[in-house]
Amino acid sequence: MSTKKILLVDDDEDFISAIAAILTANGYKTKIAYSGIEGYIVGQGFSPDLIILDVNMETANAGFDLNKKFRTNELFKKIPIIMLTGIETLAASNQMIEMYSQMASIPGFENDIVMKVVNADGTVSVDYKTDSGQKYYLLLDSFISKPVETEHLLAEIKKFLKD
Amino acid sequence: MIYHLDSENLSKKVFWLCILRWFAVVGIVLATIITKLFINLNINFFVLFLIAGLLFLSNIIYILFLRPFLSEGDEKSILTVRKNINFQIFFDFIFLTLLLHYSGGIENPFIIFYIFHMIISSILLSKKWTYIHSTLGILLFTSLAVSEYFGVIPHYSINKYISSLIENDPYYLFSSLIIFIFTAYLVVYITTFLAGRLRIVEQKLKAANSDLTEKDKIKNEYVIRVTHDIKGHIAAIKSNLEVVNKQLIAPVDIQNLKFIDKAYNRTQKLNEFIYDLLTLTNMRLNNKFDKEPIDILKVLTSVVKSNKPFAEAKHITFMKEFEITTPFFSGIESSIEEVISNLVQNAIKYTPDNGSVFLKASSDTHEFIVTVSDTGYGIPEADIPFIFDEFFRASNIKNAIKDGTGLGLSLVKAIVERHKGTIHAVSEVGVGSKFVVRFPHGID
Repeated sequence: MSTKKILLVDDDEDFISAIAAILTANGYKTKIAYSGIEGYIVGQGFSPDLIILDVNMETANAGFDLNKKFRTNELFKKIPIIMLTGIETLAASNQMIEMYSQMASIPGFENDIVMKVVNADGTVSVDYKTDSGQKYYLLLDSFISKPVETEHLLAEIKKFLKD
Repeated sequence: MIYHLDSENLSKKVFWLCILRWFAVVGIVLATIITKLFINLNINFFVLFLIAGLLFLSNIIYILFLRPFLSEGDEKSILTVRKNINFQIFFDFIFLTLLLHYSGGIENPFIIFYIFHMIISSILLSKKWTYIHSTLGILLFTSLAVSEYFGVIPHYSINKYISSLIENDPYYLFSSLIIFIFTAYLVVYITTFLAGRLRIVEQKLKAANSDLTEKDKIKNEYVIRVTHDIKGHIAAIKSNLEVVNKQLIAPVDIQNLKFIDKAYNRTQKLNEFIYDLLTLTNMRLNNKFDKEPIDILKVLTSVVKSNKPFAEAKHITFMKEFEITTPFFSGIESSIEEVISNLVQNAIKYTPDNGSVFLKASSDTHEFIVTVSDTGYGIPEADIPFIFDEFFRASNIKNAIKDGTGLGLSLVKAIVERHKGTIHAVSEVGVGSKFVVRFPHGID
């Protein structure tokens, strides 16, 4: 078994360095980037097997934006991404998101909450507003809330990195 | 200034008006029958019964017309209801005038009934409309009396003494009319004045209430912001402590480890507290409610499974009894599980070793009921009204069992209420406690 590489992107240095230590102790090779922009650059050189992303970094949705960027890049397209974040989300269903996107066209209607849909296959979709104010529906592999239970995080990593 | 009544009150009161009209119909029929049986009067009873029938019919039409607007609260519906009230009062005056015409006109003591609609107007409608209706009533009555006096329309006398008095003494007739008009306007003035006062008080109360709601919202948003910031720090503290506690990088000597362990446990507790506080506050702030069909038995099984180890650790007998005939409930699955789990956890936590905890659940077409009872420490009677308040912890266990946040039951109650359910607690110190949660099925 070759050592699996995990890219960690989070602007909370104290937090992510501890997570890196835990993952290293569990036999993974890690590299840390402290912003979305840095994450994309570091990612190119590191070619990770899995990526862990925070959401709120240099901008409120930097993590989602980076996720989007990786997903549209041929090299990173198939690499699993775990969102590890403290942002507030609202549990929703697809119908609810549809309803809200219809309401969004009504002047005066503001919805800044990130809505989260847990799909039947275990993946998660989020509906959020990009920095330019546009609504975006993003499909994620995994979504974990901070503070994290180490066992939970390790289990999730193992699920994606089947050897 | 125009005082607008809120839609809820208006639709309630318009039906009250319709109910009063049923009594009026019965009253007219009874009065006519009694008159016919016991007093020998030369009047056309058929016409009186006919008018009562028309009044009955009009009431049915009003009710059928108004029913679809009852649940609507928009401006347009309120306007329609208000128009209908104007309509109702107008036709009531016409019916009353007709009734009086065929039963003695000004001789009939029931002329006083004009006043009723003037009072009703002042309760239901604006000052302007109350005066318009009152003037209409007065005009109808005056023209009835005057046209009967001048013989424009026939006069059906019921009392020859009054009749001759009116015919021979026009001063009596006109002074009676003037007194009637004066009385009517005086009544209208007094009632609109009082109704106006009431509406001002009502509006002040409403404003105060919405002010409080707004302040509560600001408080909740503040709590969310603060706890959210705290959460980031806790995440960092927790993960860093874990590195040391699990000795992932370098060994820690046993004496230091003891303290690290305590710090780690407390961080864990703080973490749970923050989670509860955030969930509770978020629930209060967001009224968005997305329901899904929940497999009741699945939730119950999950709760039993996750709590069993805790019961076993304290040698507590954990009994269960499920009677599920309607297997699905519409709600938020994680929230419902949280409610049941929270109650079971509390029961285990506040029951001494070797006691017992009983989880009972039933679901029929009507409701989904969860009962959690224990043989625990119990809650002092004086504390029961406060157990659902935020940060409240019962006085008898506050010091004995320290690791409670005082948020668990607040969260439970918020979830239950969000599902239109009720929660009820009975308890006796030293005997045990019982919590009953009832969720109604089929609430949208």
